[in-house]
Amino acid sequence: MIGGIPILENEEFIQEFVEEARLHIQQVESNLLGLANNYQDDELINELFRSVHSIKGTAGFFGLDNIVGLSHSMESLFGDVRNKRIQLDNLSIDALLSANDYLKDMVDHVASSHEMDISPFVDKLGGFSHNPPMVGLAGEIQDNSPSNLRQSLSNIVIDESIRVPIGLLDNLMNLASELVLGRNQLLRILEGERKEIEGLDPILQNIDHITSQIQEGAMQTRMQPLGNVFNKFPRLIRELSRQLKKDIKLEMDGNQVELDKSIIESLGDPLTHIIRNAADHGIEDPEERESLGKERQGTIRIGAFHEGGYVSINISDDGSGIDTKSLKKKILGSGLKTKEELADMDERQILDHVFLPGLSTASSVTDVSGRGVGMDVVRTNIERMGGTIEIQNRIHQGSSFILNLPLTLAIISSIIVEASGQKFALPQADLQEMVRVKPGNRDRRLQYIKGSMVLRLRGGLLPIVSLSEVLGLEMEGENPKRSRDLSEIIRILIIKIGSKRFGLMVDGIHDDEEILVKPLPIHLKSCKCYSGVTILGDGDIAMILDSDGIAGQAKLEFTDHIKELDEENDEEKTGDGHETMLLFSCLGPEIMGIPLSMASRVEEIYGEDIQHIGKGKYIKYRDQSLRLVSPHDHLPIHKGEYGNTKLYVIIPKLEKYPMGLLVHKIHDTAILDTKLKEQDTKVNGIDGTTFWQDKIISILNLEELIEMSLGEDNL
Amino acid sequence: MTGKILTFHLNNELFGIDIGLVKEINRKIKYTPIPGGPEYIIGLFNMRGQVVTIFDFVYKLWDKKGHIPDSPTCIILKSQSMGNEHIGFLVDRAEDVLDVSPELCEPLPGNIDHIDQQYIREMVKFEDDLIMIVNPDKILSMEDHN
Repeated sequence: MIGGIPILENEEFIQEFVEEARLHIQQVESNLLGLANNYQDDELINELFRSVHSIKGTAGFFGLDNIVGLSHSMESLFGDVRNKRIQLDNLSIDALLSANDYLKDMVDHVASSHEMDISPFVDKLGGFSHNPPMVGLAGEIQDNSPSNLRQSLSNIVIDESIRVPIGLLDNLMNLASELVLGRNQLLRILEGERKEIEGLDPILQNIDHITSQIQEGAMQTRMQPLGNVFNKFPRLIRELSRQLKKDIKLEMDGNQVELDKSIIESLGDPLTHIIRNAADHGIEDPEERESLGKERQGTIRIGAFHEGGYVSINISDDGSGIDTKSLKKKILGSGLKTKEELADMDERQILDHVFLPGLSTASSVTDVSGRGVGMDVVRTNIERMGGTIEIQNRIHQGSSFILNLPLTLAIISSIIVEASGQKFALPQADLQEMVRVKPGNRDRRLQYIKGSMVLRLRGGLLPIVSLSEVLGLEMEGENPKRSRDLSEIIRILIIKIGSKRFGLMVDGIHDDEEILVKPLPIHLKSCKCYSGVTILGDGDIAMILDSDGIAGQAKLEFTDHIKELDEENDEEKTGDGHETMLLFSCLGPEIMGIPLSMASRVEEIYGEDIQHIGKGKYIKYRDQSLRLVSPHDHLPIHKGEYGNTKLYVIIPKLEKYPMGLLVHKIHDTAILDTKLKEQDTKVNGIDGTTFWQDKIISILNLEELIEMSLGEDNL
Repeated sequence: MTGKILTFHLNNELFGIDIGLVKEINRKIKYTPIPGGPEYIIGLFNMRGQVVTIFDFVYKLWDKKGHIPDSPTCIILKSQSMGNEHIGFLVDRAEDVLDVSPELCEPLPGNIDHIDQQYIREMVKFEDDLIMIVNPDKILSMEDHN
């Protein structure tokens, strides 16, 4: 009996089985009762057979032998009935019903089901299979007759979880967000009366609070465990091992982590692709592993955990890692970059080329993977969901892919833009930066090439698409391309889709707005420029723009040779008092920022890479020693020591003082208001504060910080 | 057919629709046009948080753009064959609800050519008026999009 052990390991899946088995058991009950009216109903008998069969099948998978045993007896009886070997009667239906009840008992107490005795029921059912139906005993079973049972059975309720059509949940979520909208309107209108009308304030607060909770709750109903995607990977690894003649072990963690249903559904393909790559190119042949002093068996790990508002999924292998030397050769060979350009790049930038189309790191093409298509699609798909993907690589030790995904697709950050008087929502995930083109600025100029507009930005050339034009909002025949007055300020959104970039020209840029994404109505599926619909704060419907579709509609052709815009060499000023900030934190919860334009590079290191000389910390960087400054050593923030964890070093553009800023976490880059709010008491090393996602950001003064560190370290 | 029909004016002609198919009538609606969308779609309308796709029946029936008043009236259909989607169409004016009995009904005369025969289910003869009963399923079906 192995019933006890697997249960512990597969608790999530067992729970799913229990829910499903309960549904089947209920179905069996009602079908048996239906049969009591018409013993010859073939359709019902077939259904009964199928229900019991699927309980048996899944129970067998978990080694729930008693459930298998009893459902098997029931199944064979239904089989005999189906093949007209025996005929059901009241007596046998009663026996089946009581067997079914016992089955339900076992499913309800699945953990102890292996201790329950099924023999009386198996024997009884067995009796029917071999003997002709007994007649004339009906009198004895009056109390238990199906018609009496019918009433008591109707009282059965399945507790803990219920199945609901997804449409119902979607509807609930829509209504919840509508409620939020209504609340906002109510609060706005009553703002002036809050103090005037006695008792209004607490009521409004209560409504405010409850509405948020309802919306949250409605969102949660769509959450599903990652196990729904992960559970197909053991099989995948088994097949890959056989196909590739490798010995691979799969370790999974985080099955229970939940994500929105729509994200779960679109994660399958990207994850499968990464796992295939890991098995094919990452894990070495057993012989090779042995000669390298590794275990013959390779390991692929998939882990998932919550982090902030995101879910992080990590797929790592202990294989060969990506050989950046041969990757460089590949990049050179494919003509994507010149030798000089490559020499200037750090490892991370070089690894990033894995995500470009047409580049495979595999030395040979196999059935499984290696054609150089795929990783670009993986990245595009992940970014589409509002997520990010990055590689960590250690040669001969393996590589990992780290995916960061938002918890839900349904609400995304977007920016509201205007074209020809109509508002559209553009997902923030697609937006790289916003550029205002003023006449006379030589760094960013709009020019026409054969009637098509291009933007010269920081030495690069970007194709420009006019939103009004691509959507057909500008009348044809007016030669709109020429009519644009270049002497005005023109707003351009730089759009990134995977490795592609283009500029989208709009008439106006409104606020950021968190929007609830609704699917595109079926009759608009042919409109490639839209990915969905949303209802804005004012109740109006706005179309959500699909950047990829717009590029397609505008017939943009992307070569992979587009010169990457050197984002870091230019001041990222996007408007008055706004600047792109690089946000990070040390051990504590405090978030700090420096202008992105101040940072020349961000390096990833491990705690063990740090060398201590006196009080100072150093790392080897480009064959030189680089002094590290830990902000928490000098600033009034949460203090502590790093263990041997992954850390980041931000290398600022400060020629005078070569140094690296040692931080624990890089959060994001964001365009923030940097009209600094002076602090009450001036702290050395901090220039002021601003806000990001309602959190306070301390803006560091690097020069002061360095001076402080020099003082403390050297004196 | 037998039962109640909702009558409405469209492009100066009188039509009817089985009232069982109608969810509600919204007057003076505000909608969002879809630049680059199909010509037979007027736009999207926010019905209490549900997105309603508004069809141009004039375009479907006469193959030309209908006149859209400033504050149009929209008949919204119960979602049936279209899954969870809500569909509506603009009318010039919604009129009365009338009782129809089989003896009032007549198949479509063969000489009506400017209307695609399949879009009209049958004619209903009242004393003063002839009412065309529309077949929304056919009008909305995806197959005959040009």
